[in-house]
Amino acid sequence: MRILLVLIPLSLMLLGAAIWAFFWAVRNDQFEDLDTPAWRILSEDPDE
Amino acid sequence: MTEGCFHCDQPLPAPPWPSVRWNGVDRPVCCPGCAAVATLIIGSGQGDYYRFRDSTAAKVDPTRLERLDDWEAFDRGWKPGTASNRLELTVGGMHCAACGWLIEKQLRALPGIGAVEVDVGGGEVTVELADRSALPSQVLKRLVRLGFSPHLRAGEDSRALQRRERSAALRRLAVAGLGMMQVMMYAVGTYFGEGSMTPALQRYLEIVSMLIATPILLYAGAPFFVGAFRALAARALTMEVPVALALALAWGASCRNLLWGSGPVYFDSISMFVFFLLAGRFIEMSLRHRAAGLAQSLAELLPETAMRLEAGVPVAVPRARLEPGDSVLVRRGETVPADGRITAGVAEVDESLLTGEPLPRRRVAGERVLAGSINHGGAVTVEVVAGDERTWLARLGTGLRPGGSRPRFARLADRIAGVVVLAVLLLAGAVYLAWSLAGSSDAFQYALAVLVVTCPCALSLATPVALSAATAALARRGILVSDGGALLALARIDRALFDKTGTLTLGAPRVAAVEPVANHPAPLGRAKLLAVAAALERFSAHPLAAAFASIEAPTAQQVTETEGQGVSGRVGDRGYRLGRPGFAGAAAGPPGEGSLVLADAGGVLGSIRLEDTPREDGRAAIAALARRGIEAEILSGDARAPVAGLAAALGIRRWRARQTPAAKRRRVRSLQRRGCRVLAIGDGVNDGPQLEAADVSMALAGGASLAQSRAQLVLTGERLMPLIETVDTARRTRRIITQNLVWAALYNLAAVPAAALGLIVPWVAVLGMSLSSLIVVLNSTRILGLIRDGRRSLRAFGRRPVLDASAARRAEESAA
Repeated sequence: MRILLVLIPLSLMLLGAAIWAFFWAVRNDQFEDLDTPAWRILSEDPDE
Repeated sequence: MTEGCFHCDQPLPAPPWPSVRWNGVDRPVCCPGCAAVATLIIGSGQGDYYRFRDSTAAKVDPTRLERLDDWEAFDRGWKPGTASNRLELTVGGMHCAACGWLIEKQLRALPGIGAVEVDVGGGEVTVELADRSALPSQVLKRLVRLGFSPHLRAGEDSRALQRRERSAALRRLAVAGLGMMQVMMYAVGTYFGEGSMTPALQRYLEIVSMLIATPILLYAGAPFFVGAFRALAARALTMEVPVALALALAWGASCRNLLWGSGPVYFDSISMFVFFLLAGRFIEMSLRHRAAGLAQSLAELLPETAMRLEAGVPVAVPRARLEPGDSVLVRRGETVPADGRITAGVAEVDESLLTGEPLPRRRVAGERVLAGSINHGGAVTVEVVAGDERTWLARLGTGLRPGGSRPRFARLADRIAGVVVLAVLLLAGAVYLAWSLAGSSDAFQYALAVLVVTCPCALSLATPVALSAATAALARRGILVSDGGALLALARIDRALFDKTGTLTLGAPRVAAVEPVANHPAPLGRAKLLAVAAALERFSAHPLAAAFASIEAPTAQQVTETEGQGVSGRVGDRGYRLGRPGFAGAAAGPPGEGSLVLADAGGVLGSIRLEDTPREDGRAAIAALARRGIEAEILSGDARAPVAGLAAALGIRRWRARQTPAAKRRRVRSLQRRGCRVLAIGDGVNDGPQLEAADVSMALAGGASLAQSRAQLVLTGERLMPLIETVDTARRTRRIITQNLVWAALYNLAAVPAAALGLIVPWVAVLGMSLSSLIVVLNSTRILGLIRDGRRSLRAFGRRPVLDASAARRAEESAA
């Protein structure tokens, strides 16, 4: 069970990274306007 | 089956039509405006727009295309290469993804443009001007030439505030959610390890849980503590008080048990509690934002540029830069950009945007004009008195926005919730005492469970959510609700009192009767009389002239118009005068509005009576009301004959004519005394007393008018059927709120005794409370789905509503 001594701090670091990533996404407006990117994929543009 | 315009799908006028070539075939368009836009789109290689789009564009107003150079006003004071090189616009007229695609492609093709972001659902376009060759006016002009209407987004408006609120809520949700999952993993470990886990390991897991749960509590849970303190400071009890108390007690007890090394810890319950409560609040906030979005459109009805007179020369400037004391020139057909006083010229202002009055008023030097009114008279110079946010129009707009102070109904709900909360707190205390006296060591745990498991959510959370959902669903239809309680009251009305002019009628004149006069040297027959009148009115910009627009007429010569009095000119070989009786040379003519007299050198030839056009679905709407148990009645200030005629046409049995505002109010009161619940429908300003007295007040506005804000509900558009939709929505909302209350009562009656008896562990209590509140909130959002609009209703959280005429028509057809 001593492996937990390593695993738990590791999971805490991952948690921190996940929260940081989420904060970054919010700051960069990733959660605004969830519809336009979905439509954009469907546009059949010859020059893209 | 008649074909419509290729661009805007409006009916085509008499041939020959202009046409554009698309996909190898000539397509008809209805007007030069649409032709110009379609040509631009197809010519730039984006003809695919017409293949992709799933709804039609609005008809293009050609005058906007004529004044393109005015947009260059925005280039002054623009310093390229500075930090503020983003052009943030609200763009009207985007109605589907294809529009967004079109705008993006067109703007990217302009020189010097960097990134272009288009948000169709929110109606926003953000353009980055990357280098010196890019000018704001180029972007604005291109958007106008494509048929859209751009407006500059004000610096710090409530959209930015909403965005900040949403971002903060998302961050808290993230911390709570991710942390919760982590803490629960450890908790599951301790549950399954019961017995086979060493105490050291157990403590280790508990310590880590505390390290995660504490930030969750302090950061993500902060709103609850802040809310609870604020409530207590105001001597009120809200739902946040027991929540904050439970969180604080649970955390404190858990930390103490951790230090002592024995006793249960509740970090997992705390984390779950915070997360689920935040989730419920996030849903409510999203809906609230959505409902508030439509009121923003008010400001977008004003023109973006104004002609300021600088040393006598008119110069185009952005409207927002007008200062009190500036002189602006308002030409014929233009909208007045700010509140002010006329200093020169005579105007005929159409104030229907503000007052609902369809007929224009004459204003001379020294008199006030309001922002948003349209000048149909000659060019006038106006000295600005109040601009931008201080205009009457803007102030009406803020009055219309919901979410300012909590409406009547919500305050009542808060008071009831307060009583419930007090009961819960006392009960929790009592449970603690009882179990302690009975010698149980779990007394604290049981009290905590009681505190947590009770859910006054049906009142504090689900009811606002239901009202927000209903308001948002109605806003998409162009129905504005400024008071949720009014919506609920609407569900119980049984009488509808209608005003006549502007409410049951459109405020659009049409020819009602043509009466030629016999004793004249060379009299004209009815048809000829009408034709001559139409010929003269072709040259008039007066609103009443619209009544003659569709009548075939020969060409008149030498036509001159005398402001507000009439027109004169020659048709064939005779000279005529048409207008007010005094102008045409007759004695005071027949009473009633809009009677025009035609005369020539030999005397009066006849009179033409104009009347207001009734709304086309009036009869169907009245019948639909009757089917729902609501009786309609007309109260009008007009004369007997027109009112009787309209009542007969619409199938309304009760009507009264020649009513003063005071008389209308008395009628409302007498009905109420008899136990009726009264809905008063008018144009918003002239019926002040009547609307105020009624149980629910509603205003109908023609076109895009939003300013009739004395009323609690405002219907936009030309049809009466939205009234039926509103009543149906109100009844559905009331039903759903009742369902929520019933569920909440049953749940609490079952759960609270169970918790008090010690049958429920805290984390089970959290789960139960969260599930219960989630059920109630999700039930409320059903209202969004019940208004079938062909879109993904739940996915529409957070989107700004867009007035969608085609969907509205579809919904009306299925609702009747």
